[in-house]
Amino acid sequence: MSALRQRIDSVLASFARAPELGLVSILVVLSIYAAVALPAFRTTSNADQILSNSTIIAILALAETLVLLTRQIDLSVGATLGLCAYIVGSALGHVGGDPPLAILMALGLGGVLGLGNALLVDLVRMPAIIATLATLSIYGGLQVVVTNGSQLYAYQLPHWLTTLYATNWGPLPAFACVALVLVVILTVCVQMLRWGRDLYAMGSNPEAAAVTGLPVRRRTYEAFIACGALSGFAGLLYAAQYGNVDATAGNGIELTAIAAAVIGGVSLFGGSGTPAGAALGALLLIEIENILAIEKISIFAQQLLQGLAIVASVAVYALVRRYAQRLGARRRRLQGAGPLPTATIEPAEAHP
Amino acid sequence: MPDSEPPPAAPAVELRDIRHGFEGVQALRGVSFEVNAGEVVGLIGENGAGKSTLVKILTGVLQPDEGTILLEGEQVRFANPRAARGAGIAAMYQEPLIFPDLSLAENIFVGRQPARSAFVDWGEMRDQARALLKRLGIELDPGTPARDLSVAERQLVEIAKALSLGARIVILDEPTAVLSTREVDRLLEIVRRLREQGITLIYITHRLDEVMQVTDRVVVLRDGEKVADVRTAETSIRELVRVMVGQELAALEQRRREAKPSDDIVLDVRGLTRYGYYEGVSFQVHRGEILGVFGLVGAGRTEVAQSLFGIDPIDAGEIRLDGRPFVPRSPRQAMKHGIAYLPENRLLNGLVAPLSIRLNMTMTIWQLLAVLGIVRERPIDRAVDELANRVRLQRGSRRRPASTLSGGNQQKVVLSKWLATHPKVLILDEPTHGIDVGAKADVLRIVLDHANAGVGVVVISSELEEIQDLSDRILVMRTGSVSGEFVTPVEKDDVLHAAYGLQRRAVEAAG
Repeated sequence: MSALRQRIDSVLASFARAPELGLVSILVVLSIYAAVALPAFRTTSNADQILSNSTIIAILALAETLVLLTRQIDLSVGATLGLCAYIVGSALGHVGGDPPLAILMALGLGGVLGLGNALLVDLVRMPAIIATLATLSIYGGLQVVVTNGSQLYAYQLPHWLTTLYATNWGPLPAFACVALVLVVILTVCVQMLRWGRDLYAMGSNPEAAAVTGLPVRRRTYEAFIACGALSGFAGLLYAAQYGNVDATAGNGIELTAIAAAVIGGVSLFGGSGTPAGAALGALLLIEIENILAIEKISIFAQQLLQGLAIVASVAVYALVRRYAQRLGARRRRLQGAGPLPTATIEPAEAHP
Repeated sequence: MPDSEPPPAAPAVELRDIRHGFEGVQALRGVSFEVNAGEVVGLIGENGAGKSTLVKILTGVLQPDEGTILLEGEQVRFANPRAARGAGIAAMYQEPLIFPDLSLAENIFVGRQPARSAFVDWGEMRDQARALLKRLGIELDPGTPARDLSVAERQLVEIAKALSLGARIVILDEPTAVLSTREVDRLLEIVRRLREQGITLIYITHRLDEVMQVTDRVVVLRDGEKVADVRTAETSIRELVRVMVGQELAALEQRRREAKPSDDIVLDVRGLTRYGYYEGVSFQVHRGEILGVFGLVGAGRTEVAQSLFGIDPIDAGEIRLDGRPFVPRSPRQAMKHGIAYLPENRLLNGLVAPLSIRLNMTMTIWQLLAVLGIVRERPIDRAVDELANRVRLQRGSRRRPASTLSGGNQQKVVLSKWLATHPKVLILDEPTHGIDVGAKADVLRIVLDHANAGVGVVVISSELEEIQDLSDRILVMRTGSVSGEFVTPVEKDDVLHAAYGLQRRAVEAAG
C-alpha cells in the first residue's frame, strides 16, 4: 500500500468518526469559491445575513437532534415554532415583558407541546413518526384557530425583540451568538453528562438500553420536552426576525430542520451525530441558498439543490463509513485468523 | 441475621430441587447441584435439556415454581434480573447486546460512567476500562467504537462489565458456538484467569473438548433432570456423550425408499467459502438423494444454505448445477435455476402471516399464473388445491390469513410455496423444528416423496435421529467446515463425535 493510499485511508477514517470535519471542509471550500467568484458574497453584511438566517433552522435542527439521537423523530417542531411565535408574541404585545419572561414563556409553551408528543409516544405507544405527524396537524390547527385569520405585526411586539435581528453583539450578529451558545450548551449536555450519553445509548440499541436498566422512559420524555422547548424558543426568534406572525408561520420548516440535522451527520437510526454537526448542516443549507440567490437562480432550483445536497451528504457519509469499516476488517484479516490482540499474561494481581 | 455467620465451606451457589414448568412442559424436574467458590462447573446437555431455563432462573429472568437457591449458604429469591445482578450473578450470552455507536469503554460503564461533579470523566473511564481489560489479559483500545468489535471482543466487553459490576458468579452461556478456534482458546484462557481471581464460573457449552479442558466439574442435564455430576478429571468425553444422549440407541428404521438415488449429480459444491462464516465446504447431492446436514448451532449450516440460495454472498468456491456452473446472485435467480430453500425461521422468513393461505402458497408462481400481469383466480385455486392435497394441509377456507394456522400447518404452507416451483434441489432448514408430531410425519413423508421423484434434497437438522432415519448420507459441519461425511446407516456416536470435533480414535484413547 502506498503512503498516499494510507494517508487517504486515515483521512477517511477520521471523517467517518467525525462527519463535522467533512462538513467544515465543504463549507470552507464553498465559501472560498463564492468569495472569489461572487463580489456580492464577499461583503460583511452578507456573511452576517447568512449567520443570522441560519439561526432558526439551526436551533430547530438542534432540537430535532435530541430526539433523533434516541431513534425517535419529531415532525411537529415547525408547528410548535409557529404556535409559540404567535401566542408568545401576542402575550408580549399585550402585557409587554422583558427578555427573561419572553424566553421563559417560549420555552414553557414549547415544552408543554413537547410533553404532548412524549405522552403519545410513551403512554399511547404510537410510533413517534405517526404521533408527531398528528401533533403537526393539531398544533398547526391550533395556530390557525388562535390567529383567527389575523396576524401579529411588528409594531405590536416589544422594541427589544424586533430590533434583535439587526443587532450585533461584538463582532457577531446577536442571532448567531444565541445559536452558538445553544450549540455549546447542548454539546456539553450530550457529550459530557450521563443524561446525554443515555440518549446515545437508547438510540444505538434500544433493547440493550432497556436491559441495562437505563431510565429509557424518562429520557424519552425529557428528549421530547427539550425538543419542544427549543422549538418554542426558535418561535420567539421567528417573531423577532420576521415581525409578522400569521397562521402559516413555520409551515414546512420541520423538513428543512431534519434535513439540516441529517446533512450534519445525525442518524435517523439514532445513536450518532452531534449538535455542532446539526448546526453546521443548517449553516450549509442557508449558505447554498444565499449563493443561489446571489446567482439569481430560481427558488425552484434551490429546492432541487437542497434535495440533492441531502442525497449527496448522506451517500458520502455512508460510503466513507462503510469504507472505514472495511478497512478495520482488512486490518484484522492481516493480523491473522482471530481478531483478538493479546497482551502477555502476567501473574494475576491481587483483587479483592 | 446477625449471629448466623455462614460456615466458610458454604458453596457459592447451591440449587435445591429446582422445578419449572412452562405451558404444561416440565423444563426442570427437581434439579439440585452446587458450585463452590472459585470453581468452574460445566453445564451440558442436548437442546431442550433445561440448561437455558436454569440460566434464566439463576439470573432472575424466571422464577422457579419450586425449590430454593442459596448464595453462600443464604437463601435468596430473585424477583428480577436486577436483583440477581445485585447479588453478584452475571450472565454472558453468545451474542452480547452492545451499543454499536458507543466506545468499548462506554459500553462497559453506560449509565454509570465515572463522573467528576456531574461531568463524565472520559480519561478516568478509559483508565478503568483498560484496567479491567488488563485483568482479563487483553489489550484492546478502550476508545474503539463497539461496532468495530468482533463477536469475541463483544463477549469480553460483557465479561469486563460483569467484573466492574462486582460479579462473583459469572455464567457463560454457550459463548464459543460463534467463535473461531483461536478465539475459543483465548476465552478458555480468560476463564482460567478468572478462576485464579476467585470468580465462580458456570460454563455452558455444546463442545465437550472445552469442558474437558477448562472445567473442574461437569453437571449433565437430560430432559430437565440432572443425570450426572462428576469431577472432570474422573470422566471422559465418551462417557459424557453417553450420559447426555441417554442409553437408548436410535433404532434405525427401515426407510420407505422406492427409488435408489441416481448417479447423476444435481448439485456439486466445491470449496465454497464465505470468510467468517464457513470455509472450503464441498459436497455433492445426487438426483433423488436425501443429504442430511448435521452440526451444532453456529457450525455454518444455515449460512451455506443461504449462500446457495443467493441470500448471502460467496467469497470463493464453485457451484455446479446439473453440471453447469452456477453463481447464485439472488433468491429470485436461484429459484429460476431450480433451487428452493425453506428457511429456518418460518415466521420471520417464510410466511407472510397476514396474507391469505392461498396467496402464501402460490406466491412463488404468481408470475407463471398471470396473464398480462394480472393474476387470475382460477389457476390459483387449482394450484392451491393440488398443493394442499400434496402436503395434507388442514381443511378449511384457504382465504383465511396464514397466521390463523397452527405451526405445523404454517410450515406446510411455506413448504407448498417452494414445492410449487418444482425445484431440482430442495434445501430444508430445520423443517420439523417446533411443529407437532403429526405434521412432522407429514413433512418427512413429503421429503421422501420428492426424493423418490428425483429431487435432490438437503435437510439441515439438529435432530440427529430424524436425519439418521431420513438421509442417504449425512454431512457433518463444525465451526464452518465439513468435519465428517457418513453413509447411512451410521451410529449416532460417530456423527456426534464429528460434530463435537473429535477423532474417533482420540476418543477411544481418552475413554
